[in-house]
Amino acid sequence: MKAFATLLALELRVLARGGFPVVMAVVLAASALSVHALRAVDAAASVDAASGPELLEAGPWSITVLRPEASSRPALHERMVTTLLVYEVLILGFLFVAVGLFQQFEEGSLRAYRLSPGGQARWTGAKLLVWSAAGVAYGLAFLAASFEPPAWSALPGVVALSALGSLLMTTLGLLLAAFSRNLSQWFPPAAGLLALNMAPAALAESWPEARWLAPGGAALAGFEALLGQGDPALLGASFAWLGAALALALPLSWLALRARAFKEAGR
Amino acid sequence: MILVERLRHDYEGKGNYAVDDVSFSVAPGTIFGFLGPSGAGKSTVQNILTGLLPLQEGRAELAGTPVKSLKSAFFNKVGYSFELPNLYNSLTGYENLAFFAGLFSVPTEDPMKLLDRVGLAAAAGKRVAQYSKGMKQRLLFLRSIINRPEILFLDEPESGLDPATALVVKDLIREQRDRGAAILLTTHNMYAADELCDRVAFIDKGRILAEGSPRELRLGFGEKLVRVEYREGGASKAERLDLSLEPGRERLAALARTGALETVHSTEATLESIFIELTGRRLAE
Repeated sequence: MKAFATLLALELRVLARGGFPVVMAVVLAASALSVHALRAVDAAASVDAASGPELLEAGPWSITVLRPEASSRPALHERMVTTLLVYEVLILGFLFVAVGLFQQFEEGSLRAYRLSPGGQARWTGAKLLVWSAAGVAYGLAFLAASFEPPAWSALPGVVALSALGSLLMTTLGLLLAAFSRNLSQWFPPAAGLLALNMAPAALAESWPEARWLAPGGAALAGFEALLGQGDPALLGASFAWLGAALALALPLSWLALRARAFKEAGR
Repeated sequence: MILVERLRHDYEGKGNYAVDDVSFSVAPGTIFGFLGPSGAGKSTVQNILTGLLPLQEGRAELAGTPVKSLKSAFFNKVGYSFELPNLYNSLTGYENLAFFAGLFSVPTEDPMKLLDRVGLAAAAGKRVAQYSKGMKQRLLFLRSIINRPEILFLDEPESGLDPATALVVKDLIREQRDRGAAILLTTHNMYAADELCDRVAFIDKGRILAEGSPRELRLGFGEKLVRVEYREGGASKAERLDLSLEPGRERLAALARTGALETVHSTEATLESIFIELTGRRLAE
């Protein structure tokens, strides 16, 4: 327990000193501002929509509504909130855990750790815990800064889904990083994977089932359900999908770290 | 106890052995020096012993445990100081030591007291990224002894140190030995090896060429002569005298009586000269 607490303290110190708080403060401000900007656009659009029918009825034309379901879609800024929760908040661990690993490679500290009684389990556990917690904390900060707090009844679900999603993405981040030695090796496959993770959001309009092809889509379904933007029945499926993916990713990540990162740290 | 028997290692699997038939042992309370130039195979042996490289052929044990079956907990008994710094650069010197101390489940030294011993107390709160090479080297060494290890691996521990600090570090190494640690000191610094080691082995091209105490080796390879310098007729002269024979002893006594004797030096071999004799090249190459 003492060794694990020591590792947690290390991760937090490195996180606090590595420029992470500054970077995330800037990103948080930009993201929250984008939500506020979209809220203003939504408000302007709703005014237009309210005044529109009178103008239209004044003319000698008739209107056929092609997609009546579109009027029930969440506002743009609300969709932006769920999108950023999935594609910004949940990928924090994915990105930063890799950066931390490469830093440890470069300074040789992983090699030194490898020859301590700390062990791989505590090392991995501390990283997963700290970066998952960082994801949850950032997600809540983002919701607050965007003035889009979830309903009290949805808050535990939002926290739980953020934690599960962050944990999965951090695990995947370690899995991918284990196969690279530095950022330049890691970046192309990481960018590809993140693009694939975003694909379900792009395909959801025409092919809703596509959401189950990647963690991002599954998490999006969950957040939409929790925040009243989607089908509440999909919440359970979202948790189940992410949980199953985590159960698969954890052992794979463990093996990859043992075979690659911890082994190469010795060279 | 460190035990190595008939160790061989081939990085490429093509029959080019980086370590070839190496055997030695290091008893508790002993400093064993592994002397050789860069690329001789010193680090390969050390990396096999620490589990960083797989054991391919031979037998290697630490404190009776085969290196193939070392578990994390075993590293409570072991300390390592590498030649290249491998510290957490974003942590301070104190935090680096405290972090590693926190990983051990055995009693550990007080980081601040250790830092004070090597003159790093004032820099304890400074981030390691701002440390000089010598400061990092001292910190690495302190990290290796923070858990009072039974087995200590030191790779060029005096590298980059000023003479005064090197003396302190040597004292600390002797303290570990006196405490009962088995120490494997890897170096190409013959002076450090001569001063510190109870036994040394010369390694070159993966093979041990000679092994013994520094004194045994010096006597075994050197000439039993003394070189004297004296003044005669206003000029400085020199002679080599064999003190194992009566004429040599008489000549030395005669020079001493006249008061003309200026210097007397033994001509025993140095570890460096022994290595050159064995390999035809210098240790520092």
